[in-house]
Amino acid sequence: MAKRGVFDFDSLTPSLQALLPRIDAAVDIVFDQYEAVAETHARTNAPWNDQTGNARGGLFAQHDSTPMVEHSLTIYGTMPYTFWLEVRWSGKYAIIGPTMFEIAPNMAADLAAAVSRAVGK
Amino acid sequence: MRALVRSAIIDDLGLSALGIVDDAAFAVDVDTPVQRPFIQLRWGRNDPGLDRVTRRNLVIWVHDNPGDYTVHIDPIILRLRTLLAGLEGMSNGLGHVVAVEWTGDSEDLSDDGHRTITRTTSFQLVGSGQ
Repeated sequence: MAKRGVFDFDSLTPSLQALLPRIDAAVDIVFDQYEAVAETHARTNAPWNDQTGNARGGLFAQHDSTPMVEHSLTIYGTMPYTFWLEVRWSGKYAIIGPTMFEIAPNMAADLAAAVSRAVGK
Repeated sequence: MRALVRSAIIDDLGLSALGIVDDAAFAVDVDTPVQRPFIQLRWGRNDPGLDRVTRRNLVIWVHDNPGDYTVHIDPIILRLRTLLAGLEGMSNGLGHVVAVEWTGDSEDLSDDGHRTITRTTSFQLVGSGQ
């Protein structure tokens, strides 16, 4: 009696499973780079005259991530009056919002390039 | 581009009905107009685009007396969104407005400098001559 065997050859699933960590690693590097970029930009370009230097020195950027799920970049100030610097006089002394505007286009472009490299395009 | 946006706001009947009637309705730097509501234009960076076309950020702050954001601020912001979108294709003297992209509105804020309540509405203006 003849026997019949069936072989499945699935190259797609392993490739996709390997792809996500590569993309995540590429994105992770870009976010780490822009953590420094954002913090430097904020501290360098904060438009107020320093009294104590605490407001400028208290500007930070932080990259948080849930691997394979989400990456976020938070720009923040540690002084209690940081919020008012952002808002007072219609944002005359704002730096957090303008920093986001400043870095977002370059960051988006770098992320797109990094993902393209990760997927081999 | 600044002059085009400013004149469009001043000439708009919808905004006039909401209290934005003339130059007195604009704050400049840290001055505070007597008039309520009033607005303040914060022009941001101008990024390179194709050829002479650039992309510029504009944040419009809408201020009112403390109390209720829905009396003037919310309807003014909605009207601005429609008004600025209508500038597409218009000449600004040195070039043309190619596109107006609304990029979002802020949460409810208060400005302890102007002593007002305020919200922002933000745009990116794509065009030449800006």
